[in-house]
Amino acid sequence: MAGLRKIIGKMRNTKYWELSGLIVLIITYSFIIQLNNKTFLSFANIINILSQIVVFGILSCALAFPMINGTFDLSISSLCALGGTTSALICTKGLYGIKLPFAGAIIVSILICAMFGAINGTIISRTKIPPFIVTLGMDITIRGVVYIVSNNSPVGYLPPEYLALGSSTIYKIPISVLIMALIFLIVSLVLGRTSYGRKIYANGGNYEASYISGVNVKGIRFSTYVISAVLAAIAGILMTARVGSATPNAADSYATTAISSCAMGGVSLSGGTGTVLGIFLGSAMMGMITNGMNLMRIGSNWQMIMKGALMIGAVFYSMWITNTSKR
Amino acid sequence: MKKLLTVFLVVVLIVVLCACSNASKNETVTTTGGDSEKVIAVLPWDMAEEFATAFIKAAEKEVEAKGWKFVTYDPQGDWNKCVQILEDLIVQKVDGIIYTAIDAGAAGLMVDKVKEANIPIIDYDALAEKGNSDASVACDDYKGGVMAAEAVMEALNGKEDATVIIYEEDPAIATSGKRNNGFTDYLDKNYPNVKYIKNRGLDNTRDGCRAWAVDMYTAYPEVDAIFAYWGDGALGAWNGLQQVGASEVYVVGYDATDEQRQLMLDQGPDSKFFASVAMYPEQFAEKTVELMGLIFEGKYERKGPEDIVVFEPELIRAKDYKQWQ
Repeated sequence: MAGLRKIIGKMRNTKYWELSGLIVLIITYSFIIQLNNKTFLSFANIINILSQIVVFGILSCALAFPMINGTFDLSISSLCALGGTTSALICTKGLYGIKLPFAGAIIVSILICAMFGAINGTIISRTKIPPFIVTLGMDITIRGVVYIVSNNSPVGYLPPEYLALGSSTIYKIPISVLIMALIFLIVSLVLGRTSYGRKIYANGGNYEASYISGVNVKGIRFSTYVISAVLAAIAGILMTARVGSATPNAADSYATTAISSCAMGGVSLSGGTGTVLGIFLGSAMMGMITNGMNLMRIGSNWQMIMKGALMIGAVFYSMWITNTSKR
Repeated sequence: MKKLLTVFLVVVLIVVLCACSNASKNETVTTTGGDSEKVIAVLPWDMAEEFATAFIKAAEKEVEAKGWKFVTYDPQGDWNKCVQILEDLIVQKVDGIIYTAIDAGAAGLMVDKVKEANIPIIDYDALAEKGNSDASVACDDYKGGVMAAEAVMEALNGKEDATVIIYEEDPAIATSGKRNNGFTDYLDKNYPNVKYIKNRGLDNTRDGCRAWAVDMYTAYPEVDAIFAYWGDGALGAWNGLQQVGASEVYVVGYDATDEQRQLMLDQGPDSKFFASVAMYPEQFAEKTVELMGLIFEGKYERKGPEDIVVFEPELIRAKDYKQWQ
């Protein structure tokens, strides 16, 4: 018992303590669903959940960069659609004359999305226009671009190597899940173990103090949007591989899900705080909510109510724990 | 205090989940306690659509009548959501799936996955292009488009130089293309001087179609008739035209939902909401559930992608209200 108290005491002093509520929520939720449906915690279903959170998990990572930096990026859902659509077009019908094999298509589509991310970053870092407005406007603009390049049609008949990205497994674990895990690992290392990551937190925590300390705040801010766009493109490619086609209205509400995942995982909307573990747990929770309620045969209407209620509860608990820990 | 709050939140979670589970079971899961309680999952295009809601209600009745359990989920017109739901249904090992292929091109891949899990799957209305579902039920959408065009020209007394606005098809929705093709092919062949304009708005909701119709009437004040290939589109267009006082413009719609029929009844035999092409969701529901039963018994095997159960559409005119009221 003393040992357990010691462990809890140590944990309280870490940045992960605010995740305790989310962890309790996940455990409790899993327990309730498992009682109702024995397949919830089966290997097949866990893999199913992980497969389903690949897209908005990576989008949550994408959103984490600008959020921790103290800004916002609402254009990730249309960037996700753009990444999927352009990569699908380039390796099938061609995109304005550009036709490349699968690997080339991936690189070009990521570069296209990075370009839009750079536009976001330039406007936000160089002007006083609120990031919310800039990225909202870009979200609508990029969505229009997606509809134009795809001619309002889904892009299907993908090459086998593209489809393999969504369906192949290694030791029964889908490749897309492994890619997501790798991305989370890299993002965790970048944010947690590099000076660049610390600068992102510093910017988000206190922009003026960072500037006075000599941090290239504009450059950091710019880079977060490029990284966000690149990750959104990757999410779009994986989503296209999974469903077998790129649709122009893809990922339409995924920004909201990504925001929910980040918020549940402890990323502050005002910036400066947040952990990748929290983002992963938040994404997992969002995936488990839908999956669990489908297994319990709870209708879609009630699922929306549950998602909203759980999100508010988890974020409230996270904020409350953080505030009381500071006292 | 922290522990109390944690316990409180956990209790709230348990209560809410149990309440949702009971409430939804009352809404969507019913069983008559038959000998074989097979679970049949039915996925519409979007529950916000009247046709989909009517289909779901009818399918629920048919499934219950066979002593099976009925479950339904709403993909909200999003193929990604539909894939997610189908994957969950595979894990749940439901006994049968009836769905509509929101993305006809990509649906074939998901059908293969469902069939690998030994779950029979039937598509209706919008069909997977690959034609690999265990059964398919559809309406002759091309013929429906032709009927709609005939109705428009009947309303306009065969006006040779009429101007007709057509809500442009969504390339992602195969049925919309077939309906519009039937419509325009009829005009091209029989009334080559009729001017038709295809256009569509960004927002396919009823309100979006209302705004679209207002804009189209402003752009083309000489318009004689509007055709929309689905229920909400037609009703939205009608509302928009009434809003701007375009009482001389005819509207021909599709699906002939209860609301459209009521509108025609309220407006009377001279209604400018002239007609609507009827597909009967109850027919679809009855047939798909019947086929599911035959598949379970091993009495139905699809002969190939072209083997589709096709229903003929029917034209409902306002002036014929005595026949269909």
